[in-house]
Parts: sequence; C-alpha cells; structure tokens
Amino acid sequence: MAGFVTIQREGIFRLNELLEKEEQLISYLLRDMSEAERKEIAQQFFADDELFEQLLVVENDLIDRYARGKLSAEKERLFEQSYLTTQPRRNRVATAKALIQTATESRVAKKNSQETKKTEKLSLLAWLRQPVGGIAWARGVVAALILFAVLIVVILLWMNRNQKSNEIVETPPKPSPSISPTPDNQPSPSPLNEENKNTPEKKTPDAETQKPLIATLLISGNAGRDGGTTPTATIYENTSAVRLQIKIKDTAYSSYSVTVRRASGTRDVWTQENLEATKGLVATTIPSQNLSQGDFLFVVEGKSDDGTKEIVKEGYFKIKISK
Amino acid sequence: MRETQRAEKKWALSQEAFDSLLILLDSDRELAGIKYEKLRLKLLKYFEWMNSETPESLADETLDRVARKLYEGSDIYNLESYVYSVAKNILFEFKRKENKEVIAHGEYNTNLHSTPEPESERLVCLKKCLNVLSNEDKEIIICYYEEEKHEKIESRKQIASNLGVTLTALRVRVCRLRAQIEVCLNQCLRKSVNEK
Repeated sequence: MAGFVTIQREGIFRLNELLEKEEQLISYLLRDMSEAERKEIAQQFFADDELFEQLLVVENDLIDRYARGKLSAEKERLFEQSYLTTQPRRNRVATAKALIQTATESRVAKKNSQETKKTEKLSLLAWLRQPVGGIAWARGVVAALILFAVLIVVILLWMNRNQKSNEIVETPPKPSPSISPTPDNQPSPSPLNEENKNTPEKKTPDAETQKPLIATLLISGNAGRDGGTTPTATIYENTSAVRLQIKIKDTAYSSYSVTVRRASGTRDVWTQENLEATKGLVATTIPSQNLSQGDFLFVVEGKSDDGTKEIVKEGYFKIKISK
Repeated sequence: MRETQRAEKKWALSQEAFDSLLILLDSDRELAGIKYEKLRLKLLKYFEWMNSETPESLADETLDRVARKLYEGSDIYNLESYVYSVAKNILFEFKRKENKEVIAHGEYNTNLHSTPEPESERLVCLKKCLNVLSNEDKEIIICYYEEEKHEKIESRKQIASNLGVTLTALRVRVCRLRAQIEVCLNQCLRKSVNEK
C-alpha cells in the first residue's frame, strides 16, 4: 500500500513536472520569457532529442488550440503578437483549421451514413425499398404478407365459428385431395369444449369429393339421445374409422375402458380397455365396419388401482352413412 | 537544389567537408544521414522560433560553416553545443543585417496582413494529401482532429489504446504526420499556384 502511494505520488509529481515543462515550452514558443531563459531552452533542445520532440508536439497543440479557439485570452493575444508573425506559421494555422474541418466533416458524414443504415433497418418499408432484391422481390414480399394476414383472418373466423361444434375430423396421415373437413366432420381447434352442442348437418359443394379417412367425434357435454343434440359422425365410402373423443370430468382413475353398442341392441360393437385420459379426454378409434347408420350408446368406465370399475360417463352418438 | 545554392556562396561546401561532418555524426553513413537531417530540422526550427523569415537558408548556412570548420581541422568535442553557438552567431549577423534594411517588427506586422491561399484550395490539397497517407494514419489524423472537449479526449484515448501506445506517443506520431501533411500540402499549393 505504501509502495502504491509512493508510486502515485511520484506519478503526480511527474505529471506536474511535465505540465510545468509544457507551460515553460509554451512560454518559449510565445516568447513569454526572458532572452536568457530562451537561450537556455534552445541550448537544451540542441542536446536533447526528446525535449526537441516535445517542443514540436507542444507547438502543434498550441496551433490546434488556437485554431479551435481554445486558448486563453492572454495566450491568444501572445500567440497573435509573438508567434503568428510569419506566413509559414499562418499557413500552419490555416492547415490546422482545414484539418479540423475535414476531420469533423468526415466524421459527421460517417455518423450520418451509420444513422441512415440504422433507420433503414428499422423501417420495413425502407427495407423493402432496398434494391438488394429488386422491386419485384419487394412487391412479392408485400403480397405474401397481405396473403398471410388474410389467411390469419380466415382461420380466426373459422375457429370462432367452430367453437360451438363438437365434431372434428382428423386429417389422414397421407395428404390426399379427397380428404378434407366436411360440415358433418368439421375440425375443431378446441377439443376441450365444455358444452356438447351439435351443429346441424350441412354439406358443402365438394363434400362428396373430400371425404375423411378417419372421422373424429368429440363428445364433451351430456350426449343425450335427442335427435337435435346427439353428436353425429358421417361415414363416407372411404372412411376407415371413427375416432371417439369423450370428455370426462373424473380423471383420477388409473385406466379407462370404452364400450360401444347399438342403442337398440344388447351386443357390444366395440370395447377397448386400458385407455388413458389425456387432457381430460378418453379416446378410442372404432373401425367403420363395426358401425352402421343409427344411434349408438357409449359407456366410459374408470378402473381404480384395486381393480374396481365405475361408470364415469355414458351417452349416445349417431352415425350417418353417406355415399 | 541545395548544392546549387551553396555554389553561389563565398565558400562552397565540398564533398570532403560534408563527409567530415557526416563522419562526426556517425561512423555508419546511413545513420549519419538520419542524424544530419535531425540536426538540420533542429536548426530550422530554432531559426523559425527565433522569428527568422528564412529559416531554411540560415540552417544550411550553419551546417556549411560547421562542415568547413571540421574540414579545416578544428576539433569539435560537443557537436550539438558547437552547432548551437554557430547558429546563434548566424542569427545575430542576420538580425543586424536585417535591422539595417527594415525594422523587424514592422515587417512582421506587414506579413500579418499578407494574403493567404484561398481556403478552398487548401482543403482540396489537404484531402489529396490525406489520401496519400496509409489508411491507419489517415484514420488517426481524422480521429485526432475530430470532435470537441470530452469526446475529443476520449477519442484520443481510444486511438492510443487501439495502437497500444501512450497519449504522449500518440501526440508525437500525430506531430510527425502533421509535418508530413504540411510538406505535401505546401507542394500541392505551390503546384496549384504555378498552374495558374
């Protein structure tokens, strides 16, 4: 610590010494000292290269400071009276002023260029105007953005319309132009609907050509046997299965089973056990050949760890066959 | 050019006399040349700082006289000190001669109002001379002379830091670059005057 303080003191002392020396050299250049002192300094710099270089630097700074108007009034007066007495020196001042002007202009131009680049980056329109990709490219991007926005609006409207529907259609694993949602089997973005409201059957002009391979039926509320509210799935020629997604409230069971039978019969057409409830839904996929047109009863049973079974939900759904 | 000027003087600097000065400066001829130029610069600045209107001719006159003394067999133990004393004498002679013709102070005041070169020409020449510098040197000069106050100090600290030198060393480098620019600028301005 003591060593540090000593070094610091020495540093300050050296700095003060340098500043004092610099002031002395300024006085030499401005002839603000006795002739004897000037002679002494001249003799010193002839013998000392470092001192001579320092004098050159101090002179340079003095000219710069004058050119910038940074000298004190007294020094400025001395500078003009004692230093600025020859044409070469006046030329040096003019050069300093020109250097300051050029450097500042150069820097301002550089900064402006950087600012412009920043602004252009921030402005999408300006970015689109950039000639990098050409005008056609820019127009293409604008068109794509508009199309994208329109698509988003259409999807939102469509989603809103289908919130009330409980019937969704899963797209098949392999895309096919003949597979798409129909009014009967409309996809629902929200299978977690609490209300089980069935939409009336509607047909689109291309319903016959766009048939799903797997029809999905979401049963979220009380599925009664009322013709108007019974969830309905339509089976087309190439519909291979109907996927039932049944919303249940009690998800505490270790596994579930789904049993399906015709409403008018006693024989089960489909049973699947060891199902898990995912996000409050128990799902089973029934092959189309097991189903025919008419009403069906479904029963969901929950199985506890000790093996006991309890009915969790039961209800009806309707199957329509369409060619 | 200098040889021609010297030939016109009473005593012409011979190659032998010049060589004897170089040998005294350094036994290595290349180093001797560098030292000669440094000594000449000191003389030039000395006469300039003494408000001489013709520092170049006085510097050359000093070196010629020193070389002559050496050639004539004088023993010079401290060259710098000797050169300084010769320079002082020459300045004294010059001032005495000058005072007979015109009062020095009056002449200075007259010069103060002489017409400088148009600033536009200086700027054009300066831009040309800056382009002669290396990119690094040009960037140093631009950074050194741009900005004001705090920003300027910070900018200079940044340049010094980038170059891995102290601020003092940076000032020295800028000073040398300035000298280089001024030489180029004066040549350019002279050329443009001659072209007119």
